[in-house]
Amino acid sequence: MGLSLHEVLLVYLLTPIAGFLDGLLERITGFLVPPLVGAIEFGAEQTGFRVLGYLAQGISYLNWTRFPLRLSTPFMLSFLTAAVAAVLLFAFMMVNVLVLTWLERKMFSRMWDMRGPMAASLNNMQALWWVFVVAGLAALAVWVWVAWFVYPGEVADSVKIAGVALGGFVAFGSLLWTRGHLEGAGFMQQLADGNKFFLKELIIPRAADLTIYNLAPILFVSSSIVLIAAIPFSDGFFAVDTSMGLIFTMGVFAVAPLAVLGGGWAQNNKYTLIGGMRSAAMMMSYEIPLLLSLVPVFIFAGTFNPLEIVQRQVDAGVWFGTGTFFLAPLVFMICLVAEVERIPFDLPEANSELVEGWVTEYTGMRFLFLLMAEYIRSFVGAAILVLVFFGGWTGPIYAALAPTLVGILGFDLAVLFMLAKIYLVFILFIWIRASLPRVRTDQILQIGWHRLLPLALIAIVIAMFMQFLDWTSWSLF
Amino acid sequence: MAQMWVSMGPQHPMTHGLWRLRVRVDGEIITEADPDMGWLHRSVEKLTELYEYPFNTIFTDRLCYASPLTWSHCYVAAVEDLMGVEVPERARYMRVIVLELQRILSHLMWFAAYGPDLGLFAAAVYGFREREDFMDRIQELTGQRLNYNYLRIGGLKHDFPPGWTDRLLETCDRFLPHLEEYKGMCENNSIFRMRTQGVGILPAKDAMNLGVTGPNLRASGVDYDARVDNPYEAYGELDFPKVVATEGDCYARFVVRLYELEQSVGILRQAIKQMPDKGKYRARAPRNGPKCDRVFDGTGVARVEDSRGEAMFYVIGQGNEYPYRVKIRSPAYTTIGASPVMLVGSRVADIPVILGSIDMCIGETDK
Amino acid sequence: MAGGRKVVAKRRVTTSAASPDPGHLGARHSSKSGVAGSGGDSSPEVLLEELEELLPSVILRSAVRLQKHELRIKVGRDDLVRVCTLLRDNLSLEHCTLITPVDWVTHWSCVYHLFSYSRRPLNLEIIVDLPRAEPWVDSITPLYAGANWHEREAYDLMGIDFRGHPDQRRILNPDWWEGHPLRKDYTWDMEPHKIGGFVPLFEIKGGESGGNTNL
Repeated sequence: MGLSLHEVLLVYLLTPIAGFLDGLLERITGFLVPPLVGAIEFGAEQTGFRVLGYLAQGISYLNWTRFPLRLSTPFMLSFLTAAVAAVLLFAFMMVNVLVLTWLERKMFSRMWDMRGPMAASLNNMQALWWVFVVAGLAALAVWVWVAWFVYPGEVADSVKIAGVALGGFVAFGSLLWTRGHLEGAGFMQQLADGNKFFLKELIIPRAADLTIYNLAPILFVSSSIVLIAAIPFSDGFFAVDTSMGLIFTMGVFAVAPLAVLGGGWAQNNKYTLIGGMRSAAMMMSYEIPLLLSLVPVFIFAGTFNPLEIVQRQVDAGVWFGTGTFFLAPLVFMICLVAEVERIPFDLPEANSELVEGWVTEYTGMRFLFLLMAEYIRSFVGAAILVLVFFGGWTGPIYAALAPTLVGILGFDLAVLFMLAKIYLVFILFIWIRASLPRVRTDQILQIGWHRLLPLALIAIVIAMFMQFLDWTSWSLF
Repeated sequence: MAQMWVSMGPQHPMTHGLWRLRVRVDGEIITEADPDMGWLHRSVEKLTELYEYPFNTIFTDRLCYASPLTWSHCYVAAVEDLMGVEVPERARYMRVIVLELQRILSHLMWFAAYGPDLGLFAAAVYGFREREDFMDRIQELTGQRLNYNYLRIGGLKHDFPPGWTDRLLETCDRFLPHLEEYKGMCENNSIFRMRTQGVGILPAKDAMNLGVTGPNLRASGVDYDARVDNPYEAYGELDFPKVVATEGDCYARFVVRLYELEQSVGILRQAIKQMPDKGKYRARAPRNGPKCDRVFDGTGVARVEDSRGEAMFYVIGQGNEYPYRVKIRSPAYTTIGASPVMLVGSRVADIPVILGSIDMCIGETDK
Repeated sequence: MAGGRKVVAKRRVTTSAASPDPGHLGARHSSKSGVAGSGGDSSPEVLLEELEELLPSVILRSAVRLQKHELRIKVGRDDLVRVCTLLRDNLSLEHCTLITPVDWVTHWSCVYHLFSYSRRPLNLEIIVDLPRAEPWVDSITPLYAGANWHEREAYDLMGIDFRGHPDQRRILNPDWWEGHPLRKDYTWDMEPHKIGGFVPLFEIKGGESGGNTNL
């Protein structure tokens, strides 16, 4: 088993860097502080500003050797590691979200027999496009320089913002000038959409409860990012190796409805309020079967650590999904669709009756991040499904292929294999979304309590029975 | 929990146009509903008094963006009744063909709009895909894609282009397999049935008393179809079944419209087969209407089966080239007026399902 | 979930459009479920006879158009509700299609179009004349619920007062609208109206509209 991202960062990256930076800082302070104090004192004498004198005195009183700003202390190192790891995970998830949204649109266009996103591509009118990009960026830079540094305070804020928006529009919006070609596979559409969200105005309702209004997206998005922390993508690619991995992830899943309820209430809008209420009701009815459908896996594996669960499946030579005759994965999958609020269970944002549900009053980047967070949640849910029920990265053929592949390539492809499996599950989500209408509020609760909860309990009973019969040693599956 | 008023519209995905629905909800249950119309009022009735008889088709075309031809036909039929114009036989068959083509277009538009109401976006894409094929036909015929301006008093603007009916038949042949897809997607979809069956029930007695007409009435079990029971144009010479369901819920309304698509294709095929090859496509119409002697003579009435129900024009002449009064009876107007009966007791989530199933068109509603 | 729903598609017997056999149609449709009615003749002449027999000296004037299955009668303003009650309850005209107010400059008319499903395609036009000074007539909304919005529209656009109407408000025009636009003496030389009429939650200060967000 390899090292976690946390350990890699800590041991190989941040400890040396922190040590180097500490040394640098010590030298800099040693070289710089006495001349700096001297310079300030000189200035104070010449100009007669007593404040400068106090400043120089204060700096010289600070004993830099006694109170060093040291990055290599254990506290600072763990803090830095967490920060860097969070940023890396965020970047990883953002790239995945780009792929997921692109995949969803492409699948929709296949299933619905329509043209998907193909308009924005780099290949058509390339020269003109670069001219526009460079010109737009140059205009942006000139405008920023003029507005902020040459005439500070003389140019109204709105004019400044308009200039930035204009430059950005010319630079990034020219992506949209290249339309009508199939080249580029439509991936540029993601950039164009992102650009659109960047330039949108952030509209805040005047009667909104500002604290909760601003807090809710932060809570929703950050809890969605935290979800990925305990998910391994191979035995050498994971952020944290903790024995409480799955329980932690499920707990973090349950944070989001709080944000939805609070955000829905804080926007002071009846649609969002109803959306938030629906989300709370759904949380009550779907979290329980979601967790219960994981219990068979805990029974089989005897641990909450996803790495170990995958290892147990390798050892036994079976997938835990088969242990309950695919009942537990089925329940988990349906609950997951409800958990991540996708059609047919997207009641909190049912956009034909509640406009955009609980996100109605969020615009621009807030809306974009909320949208992305939902894809992250789908991704994580699919990852858990693959990990605990379908063998994770070991898969049906990869375990046999891996030694050969490593021998040829020199490195492991387990992460890509895992990602491919996650995308397969996500394609299943897309398929469901493309072909089913939305379920009503009372019906969704009925499905949760009357169907999924008993099914999850039955799955647990089956799992206990199978474990009693020691099914993993049958080597039948 | 206290009850609260929720205002939906005039800009709301549910409204399919420009109107407002105020509902009072107790949690998710609707206890009171109050439709608020008039956001798209363009005073067509007043405008038609200011223009000569033939020019008024530009307003009647714009009554409904989804079925301009049926509305113009209704106006033209009323004026023909007023002036006593006899429409040539070939023109009567041609009118049946374009009217049924328009009905298919309108019902496909409704199908495409009903899908997203339920969260089933596939229906929108499929519906518009097939609609596009029929749009090509009507574009070949009239040169327009929205307001066709094809009906004339006494007939039609021009004859069918050569080979057009054959292409129309080919389009119908292409369309019917897709209709089976729709049925598979909706009738065999248990979530779709869960959402629509037993929702927004309108009993037959209420439907008649509330003035609900057309597919919505037939879905409630009243087997009245003006094309069959009060035939106009060449419908009386054609043989086709009425589509009737009995439950009166959203699913019944959905199914009636879906099967009416099939019915319309059948009528199209029959009408093309029976249409005389030679003949005039337009009769000469007088310029002036008769003078009305205080309503008893000199009025023209046309009741036709629009895609949304019974459309009616009531035209009063004044002896010159201008009508004295034109009154429009919009089926969607009375149906939306009847919507509180269906809405009260349902849930907020049912609002788009119910209102989508009655097939609103706000252009004709607000006139 | 009821799975076994089937569409009842009924095949129609071909009849000529010019002269459909009323007896045949009546007999066919009188047996239909869900349609209450006497199942009588669809001929307008028969309806006229029935009316004259049940309500003598109410019909001021009448005309029959056989081809359209249409009967036109003129009744007095006070008799309207009586006639409509009879028509709905005893003569099975279940459907109020349209209410048209007409502004003859000397007086007003209200034209009621009724229709019968059980005696299809029988339809009836009732004309009520109202004096110029008193544009009011009794509401038939208690009889025909579908007349509700037609009467509201007639009130809104023509200014006819329907007495006994449960909810007589403007419908197509906003509540603050002055005048009734379909009247022949409606003046046009006024400030252009704009749609609005809602009360803004917050007053927006400044601007040419003086804080009126409706403009």
